[in-house]
Amino acid sequence: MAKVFNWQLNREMTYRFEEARPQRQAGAVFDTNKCIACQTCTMACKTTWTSGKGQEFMFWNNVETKPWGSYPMAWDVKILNTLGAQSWDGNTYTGKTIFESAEQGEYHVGYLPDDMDYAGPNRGEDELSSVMSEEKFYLKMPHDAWFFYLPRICNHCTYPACLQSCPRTSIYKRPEDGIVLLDQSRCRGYRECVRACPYKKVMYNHVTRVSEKCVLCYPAVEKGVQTRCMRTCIGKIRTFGFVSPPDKVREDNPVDFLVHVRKVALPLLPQLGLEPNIYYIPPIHVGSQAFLRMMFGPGAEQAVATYKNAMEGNDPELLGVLMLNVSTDRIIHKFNVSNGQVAGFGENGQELVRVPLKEPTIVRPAFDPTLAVYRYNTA
Amino acid sequence: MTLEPLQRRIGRRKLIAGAAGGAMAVGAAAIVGCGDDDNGPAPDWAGRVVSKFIRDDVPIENPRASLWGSAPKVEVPMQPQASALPVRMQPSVPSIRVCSLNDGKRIGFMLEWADPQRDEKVVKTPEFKDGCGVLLGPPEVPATYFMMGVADIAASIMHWRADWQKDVDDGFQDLETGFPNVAFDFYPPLVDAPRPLVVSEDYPEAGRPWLPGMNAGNPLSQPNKTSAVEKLLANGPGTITHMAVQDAIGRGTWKDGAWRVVIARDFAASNEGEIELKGGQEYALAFTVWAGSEGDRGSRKSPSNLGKLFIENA
Ligand code: SF4
Ligand code: SF4
Repeated sequence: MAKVFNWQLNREMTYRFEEARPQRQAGAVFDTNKCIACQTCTMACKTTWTSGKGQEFMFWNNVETKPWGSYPMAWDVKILNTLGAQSWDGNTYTGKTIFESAEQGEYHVGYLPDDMDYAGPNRGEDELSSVMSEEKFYLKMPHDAWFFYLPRICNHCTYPACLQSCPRTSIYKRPEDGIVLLDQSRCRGYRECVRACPYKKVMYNHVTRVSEKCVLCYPAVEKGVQTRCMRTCIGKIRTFGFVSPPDKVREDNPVDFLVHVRKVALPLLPQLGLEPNIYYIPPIHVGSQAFLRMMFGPGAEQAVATYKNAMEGNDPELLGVLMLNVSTDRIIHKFNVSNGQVAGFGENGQELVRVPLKEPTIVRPAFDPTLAVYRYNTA
Repeated sequence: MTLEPLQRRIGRRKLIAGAAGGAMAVGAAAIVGCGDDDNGPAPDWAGRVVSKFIRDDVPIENPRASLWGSAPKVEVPMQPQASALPVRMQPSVPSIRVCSLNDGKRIGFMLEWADPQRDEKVVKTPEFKDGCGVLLGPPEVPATYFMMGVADIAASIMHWRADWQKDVDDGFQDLETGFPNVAFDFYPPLVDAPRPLVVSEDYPEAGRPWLPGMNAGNPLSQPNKTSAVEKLLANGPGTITHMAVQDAIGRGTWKDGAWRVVIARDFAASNEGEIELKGGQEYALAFTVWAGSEGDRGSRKSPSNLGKLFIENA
């Protein structure tokens, strides 16, 4: 076992392999405040990658409703329960990671989902956890009404549990972009990775009898194009790009800006220890700060405050980065906010897109003389 | 043979396990049969299996052929697997019974062990198969060789798989074997494919990229199995490689709570790096058993210690 540094925990931890960060790490930020659970991302992925026989239950991208929904069923509750109590001292994690809690002879704690666990990918979406009770003059909900949508894909972790678990090292992390791939010709269907990944983003193909996982649309990323789930996002919640470790932060990189500069985007369950590379802007209307801290770590409260501040118009840069979401199919490497506009640039500095911070309101005359038609303005 | 005597014998072996000296003395004296001939308990293998020479062909297709009864049988205790992560600290099968026959050109091993649950389906996520393996190598190898060889001396392995056996016997276990009520609207690339949609050699070309393992040439994903035994080459844990030429054969049957499996190959090696066998010679030998319902797969298995195989000459 090696000692590696996990910046999300602000400390060293044990891992099977030496620290080997890729030249750059593909990653993304999901703004949970804007997700509408339309599942367009889910279907974009499904139709691209997992519409074959044996993949029926697979959703490499899924959107679940927190706190009640989960896919596979109760993945988060199960792994957090197994891990036991988790504690933070400021920004430093003082509890144990899934690697540090491993029994002797195992790499980590984990569990293998049952088939039925995959059977309700939408369970809990817009539903109560139990029936409403009838009071004298009103119906009473069994719990608080707050909820939020949590879109999830593989986190292409810096310290992937899936990769570590494979006795054959069939899983590898690409040095050029940090994408974690599972070699389809090398896998022998042991499902150690399915058991290992706490986010349950490796899945077993019922027909080919080997495991599969999210490929982060690597053929697109290699061409400078965003993944399917990012490009199609209806709610424009997704910022896709490359995320740097804290000592290499580039302030004009949109993902770095959200994660490291404004610290408004946080990892999902950082206490597990994988240094996941999909980040989340926590929801601002959730009734339980403790729940947010559990899901996103100790920075949750501050992130909510930072986000609210931007939404009140006090942080044009932060607003600008978020306005770039899903404004182009190309990967944005750099941004710049000036004159009420935000511009996104490609890898070689070429301008890819320019978006106003505030969309202008245009009112058209009701009658269009060129076509001789009346039109309604719906804006 | 019925479940009763085999399990009783395994129980007895457990009782005398550890009495190595005594077991060895028995091993030297008692030459008894392996198959249906119930002529007493098998002696401890004392680290050695003798492959008996016969003039007839090795009865590969019939694990219950009486010829097997003429081969000297030994009881091989299984060990915890603690040398590669993840481990199995308690062997899932306490011991197996082994014997071997050869006809001067081909060698067959018979492996028998008690397993109350027959696991031959790996369609669903939590399903693992039963299986067993025979490892062969040159006579002089380090003690760690039993774990799939070492870096500079490859091990030639034959792996019998219960799921492949079922595929061979009854046809490929497709999705519907795990999910008999499965319903689907359509698989986009296979809109016009004939129903029922069966994954086989003539599975529509258009759909193959949607079976990624199969498309990548993974031998585990190929639906048309001709043998239940896979030939593998390995240079230590995590390195097993499917050999290019697959000509090992074998057959496993499960009856009354016990597996009886025959695994056979030619003396001649058909792959580069594979060990060639000769009568009158000694080789490194080890066995492994997997019990699917115990969660066994890969390194979660019960291996034997490293032993020796002596192949009797004509
Ligand atoms: S989220 Fe799971 S599958 Fe993805 S890299 Fe991390 S451990 Fe592996
Ligand atoms: S497409 Fe965007 S808005 Fe719709 S569910 Fe997915 S992440 Fe949410």
